[in-house]
Amino acid sequence: MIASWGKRLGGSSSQKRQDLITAYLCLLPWLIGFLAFVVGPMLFSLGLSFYESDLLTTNYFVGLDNYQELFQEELFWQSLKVTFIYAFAAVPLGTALALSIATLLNQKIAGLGVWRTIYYLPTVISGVAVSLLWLQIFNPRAGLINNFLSLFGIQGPAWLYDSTWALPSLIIMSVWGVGANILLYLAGLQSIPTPLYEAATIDGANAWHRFRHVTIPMLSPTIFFNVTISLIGAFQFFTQPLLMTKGGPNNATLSMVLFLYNKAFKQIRFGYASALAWVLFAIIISFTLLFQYSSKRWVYYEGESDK
Amino acid sequence: MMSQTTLTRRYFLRMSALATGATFLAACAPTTAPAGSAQSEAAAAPAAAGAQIRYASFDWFAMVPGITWDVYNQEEAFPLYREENPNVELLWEPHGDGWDTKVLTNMAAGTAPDVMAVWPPIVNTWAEKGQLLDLQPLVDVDIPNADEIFLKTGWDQAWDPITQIRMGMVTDIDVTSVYYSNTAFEEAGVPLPTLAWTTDDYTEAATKLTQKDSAGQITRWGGHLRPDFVLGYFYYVEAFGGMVRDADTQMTCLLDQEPAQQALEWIRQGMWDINCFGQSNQINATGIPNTWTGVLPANIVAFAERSADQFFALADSLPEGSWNIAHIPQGPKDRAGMGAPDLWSVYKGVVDRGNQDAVWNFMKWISVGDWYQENVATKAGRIPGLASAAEKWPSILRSIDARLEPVELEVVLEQLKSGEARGPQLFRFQSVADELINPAMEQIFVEGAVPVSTLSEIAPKVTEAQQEALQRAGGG
Repeated sequence: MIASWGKRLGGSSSQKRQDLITAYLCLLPWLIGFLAFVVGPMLFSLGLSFYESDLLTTNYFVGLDNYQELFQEELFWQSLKVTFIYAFAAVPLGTALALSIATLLNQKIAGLGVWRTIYYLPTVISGVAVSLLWLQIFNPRAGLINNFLSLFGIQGPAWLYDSTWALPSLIIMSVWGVGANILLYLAGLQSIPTPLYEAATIDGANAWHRFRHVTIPMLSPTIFFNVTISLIGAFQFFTQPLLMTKGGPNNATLSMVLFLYNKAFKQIRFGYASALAWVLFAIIISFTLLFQYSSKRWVYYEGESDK
Repeated sequence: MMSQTTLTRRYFLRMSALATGATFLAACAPTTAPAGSAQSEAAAAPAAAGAQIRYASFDWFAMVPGITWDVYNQEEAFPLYREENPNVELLWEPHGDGWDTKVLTNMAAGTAPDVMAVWPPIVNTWAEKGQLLDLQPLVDVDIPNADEIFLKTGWDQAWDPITQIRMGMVTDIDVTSVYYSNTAFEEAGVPLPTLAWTTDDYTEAATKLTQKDSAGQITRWGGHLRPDFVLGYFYYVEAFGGMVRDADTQMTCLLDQEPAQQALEWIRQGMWDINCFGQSNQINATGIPNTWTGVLPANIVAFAERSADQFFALADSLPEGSWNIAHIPQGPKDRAGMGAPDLWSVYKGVVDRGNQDAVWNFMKWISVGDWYQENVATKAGRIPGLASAAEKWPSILRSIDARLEPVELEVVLEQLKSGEARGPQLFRFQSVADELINPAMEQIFVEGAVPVSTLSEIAPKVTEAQQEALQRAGGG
């Protein structure tokens, strides 16, 4: 009997083959979609980046000229600067805010589910509706923020109509979507074993020490995941500048993806836009790998040996 | 070993995955015929089998209350056309959000609609990219008197001087006029606008009409220029005797020249030094829901430069007889304002699709036919491109809404006939020019951060960028 079970568990080679075939067949629908709609277009755009092409009448090989032109274009560097500032301001701000709110919610409070829903609701509202809402909030004269500031005698700036404040406006607006991160942090916080906190308390740790030496390390995998995903998303921010500022005033909110969109669909230079897309891809991948590498120093996974 | 006749879970999984994968592959497989050939297959058959025409336009095009353009076309126009042409099937396709981008993509795929509503400079780009059917040879044969029967302003702009093709037929023409509040003028003791008023009169009137509260905050600006650089401010460059770009190549930027600088400085002073013209930020900051039709009713401004799409909204919002329209003021050298057409263009793919004849017949019906052209006024409230229908536009609008009786709608036709309303000065590669000009204009007029002379540095860069774009278009 054992022998027959062993045969069943180990399987004959033909059984393994059958299992493999079944597995690939089950993967087939996703695989076809992935190849057709992700890999295929990516390879096409890579090839297109070496052409001056409008996909209509103009189509000739230019080699690396698109990349060269890109790095010499002032607007590219402007869009890169805007994107970097946005990403490295919005992500830490969002992370800190999400973690703070999650920490506050991680208590035995009545109606926790209601609070979770309230904080998550903004995330599910469409980008267009959110942009229109924030246009009203940032209204220099009748908006919520400037009206609030006027209570303290402060005259608020022109926000989206001022090249100094337009990008900060979008950064402030980015916190609207922290609801999803709050939920993830909350789940992470609730999975931290209570004995750790008890042990820390016994050792004389105060609230800050417990947060710093217990909560953060135990939550580090969640933080790592959230920051990685947020960073990737922040590098691709597009909807808000497109709808609210069109990249202005004076290119103050010209993100890389908006710059790419303008090159592709306004100037109809798909080859150049493809080159830009691949540069953006390289930047995102580089930062993601860098962050991944850094995680060895500060991300703690249970079960790993102490470093 | 399991019996082959037994449906096991493993077998079911395999078969369903196989079926799904096969379905995906079938969906992704190219069609056996090129795009559009479904139509050509139908059209290639004898005429008795019929042709199909895809007509793409805007659901929101009609301004007459209670009318939507898509419903009118599908329920009135198309059935009438089918009565006269039973072998033709008309299909309505809405131009949704981002329509220009979608149409461009469809052109690249060969699936663009047959007939498309469009306007400059988008249509000029399509023409430059060789995506439009040249209608001039057809016009020469079937409409030899075209130069006489269409309003010149619109008809001339339907011709592309770069590609030398007739880009489309004129749907309607939009004109910028000055919409003003009689009440505000009378209360301030300012003479009402006349044909003779000049840019100096404009500024003076705006200054007197500007009101402030006890804290010195402006509660009403005298005027509001058309909030668009190309369709608004640049016309004043012509009024001061300048040009935005050269007429021959359309690639040399002339905004650094003296007349252009004077014109733009006049605007800047009015907006920033005197602040009798509302700045964009200020108008947007008032918080009124609609800054396009709402500035007069909200008494944010006493007069505003706007398109010929205000009438029904203003008739609803303002007391009858309390508002009117006037000509654009006369500048030192000229009087100029926007008079830009909407066009119907034909995708070049109709040749391969085999429905070119059917499409051209339909184009004639909508652009030369009295019934459809008068309905551009009756149903959409817009100024028809056909001159005979345009003449009826004022009376048609008054028959729709009697509250328009005291409004001098004839001013709009005068603007068209006198040449005051004219096409914008577009660059050959407009989006390339916009990329450089718009940020500078925003700094000057939106932020008030830099002087008009900044354009002296920008203009040569614009010219250079145009040359580079030409080089790229020509194959490097």
